[in-house]
Amino acid sequence: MERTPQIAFLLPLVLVCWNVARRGIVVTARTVELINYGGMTLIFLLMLPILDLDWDLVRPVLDTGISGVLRGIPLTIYSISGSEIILLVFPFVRSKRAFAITVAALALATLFYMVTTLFILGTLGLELTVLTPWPLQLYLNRFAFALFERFDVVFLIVWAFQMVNLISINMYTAANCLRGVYPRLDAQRSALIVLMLVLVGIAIPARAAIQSIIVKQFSLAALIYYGVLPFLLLLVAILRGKKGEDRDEQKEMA
Amino acid sequence: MSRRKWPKLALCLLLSCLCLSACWDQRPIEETGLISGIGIDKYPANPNLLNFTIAIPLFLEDKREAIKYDTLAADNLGQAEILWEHRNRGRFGSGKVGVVLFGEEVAQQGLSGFLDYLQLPQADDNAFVAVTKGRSDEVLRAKVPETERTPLHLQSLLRTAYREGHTVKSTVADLAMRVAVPGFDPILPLLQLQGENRVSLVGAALFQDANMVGVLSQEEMQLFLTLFGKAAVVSLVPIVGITEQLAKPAVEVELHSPKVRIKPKLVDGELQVGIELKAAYVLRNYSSKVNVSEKEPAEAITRDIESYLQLEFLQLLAKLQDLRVDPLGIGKRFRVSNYQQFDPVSFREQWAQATIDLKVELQFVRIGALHTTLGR
Repeated sequence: MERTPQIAFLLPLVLVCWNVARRGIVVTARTVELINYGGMTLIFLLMLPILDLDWDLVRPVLDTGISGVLRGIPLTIYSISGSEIILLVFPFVRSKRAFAITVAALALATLFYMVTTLFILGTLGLELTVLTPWPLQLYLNRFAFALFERFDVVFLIVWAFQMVNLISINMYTAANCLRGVYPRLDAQRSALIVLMLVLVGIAIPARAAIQSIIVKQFSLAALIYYGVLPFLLLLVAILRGKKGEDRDEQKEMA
Repeated sequence: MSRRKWPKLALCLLLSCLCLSACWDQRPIEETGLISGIGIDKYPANPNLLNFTIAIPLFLEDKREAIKYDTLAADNLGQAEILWEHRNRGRFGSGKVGVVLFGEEVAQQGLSGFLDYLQLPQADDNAFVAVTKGRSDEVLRAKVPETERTPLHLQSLLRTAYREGHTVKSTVADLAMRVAVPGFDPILPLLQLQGENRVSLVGAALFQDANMVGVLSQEEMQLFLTLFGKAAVVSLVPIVGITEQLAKPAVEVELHSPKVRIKPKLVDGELQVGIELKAAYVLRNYSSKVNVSEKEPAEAITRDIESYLQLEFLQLLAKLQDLRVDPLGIGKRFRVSNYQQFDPVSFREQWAQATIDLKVELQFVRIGALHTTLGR
């Protein structure tokens, strides 16, 4: 509905997510787990070849030979599946189990991306895929024809739940980081501060121009931050002149 | 703040938020036009405009069925939608469009007035598209005895015909794919108004890119579907006997699960298309004095039917070559192995000059009850 203000949609969503994040890691993890069962089911359902594919439509993609495909692999790995998270996070985490789980999740995401791309190219053809603004929607519409009507709505519902996931995880992380920076804050207050910031954020009316400016600024800041951070930490380590000690907590984690 | 007050406050806040998200705006379903059919014709007074017939089912009291038609002259579907919303003071709900019909004249002129808007959700992707002989609004307005809502009847007619193997799948999404991907030409079912209240499937319309150039009859369409390999059952091929085994020309054959291999290749700059068709068949109707339950006459009949089908297929392919259309997707198969040599424009000429090597292999399946005429 056009006249409903965006805050009416976002406020209940944010409050629910905040209420989850406020209650700590266990509650957040359980919620994420529950929602992910639905998400995983959808992922595996979408990887079934329910529509008949025309491999002739896929094969011209290989006209530049295998080397053309191989050249696309690094780009895909870094830009789409999110493998850079390994480079960013795992220097600070020493846990083999967490590493294995992350690798498995990334592998699943890459597999899902690859299989759906093949399916979409195989059913729509390369030319139509390039023409349409949202090829997945077109593919899902055909899926609906084969499976049941309005299948795309199921996809959108799962998508919305994944957003709930993402918001709660981010809120929990933000509150935790606040407590890390200011150790005197207690959990309730840091959560409240995060809520206030988010409320201010959703109160700003969403206009595409403003959004794109914000996204550009934030991504630039994030890029610089993540690019410079390892060097800063290295500098700190050199200045302190210590090699770093293994703490007991870290050993337990690993 | 004490711990006891927390849950109450949170509950109040949550409830007030939920109240906030209700009823800011309304969109009554009566004001949404759930369009069920669109007919596109040439506008008689001005050849540059198109005539859009838009059908909306009405929901009357006592569950009575009714349908309302609007006719608008516009450049394209987007403009027609704006005009329709202006006239009806409602929204153009395109999600329930069941069928989109093109008049013969418009189809010959090109489908551009519709295809320009494929990127926007102006018609549901799963709506069926068909071409009508004559004007499409006559077919859309036909008073069929089954229901008042003719578009829904046409939709189920096309869907049933596709599922029973009488025509190709012709949804908006398929049409878009066949127009966008080179090496493919669209083929759409052809409908005709017979009498005042009967609409029937009379064949298929052949397209060159987006322009209709020819027509296949329903018999040719059955053969085409066999070559397409999509239809599970192709039936009713009347046979004229070549050898004496088929004394009377009243034979009906049902081809089961045809397997087709089409292999185009370039030999000395000329296109050669090898087509292999393998299928099992059942004799549906057969009147002759020989006993088909024996092996030798059965094989003789099989050879007869094979040679007959071969002739028919070659005739059909020659027709497609004459019209320079490629609904079988030979260009698409050719593109896979010869990507550098493939050019969608010059391929039409190559296909028209191509030599065709056709092999038909049938296998007689003896199942079901067979009426033998030994006793006569």
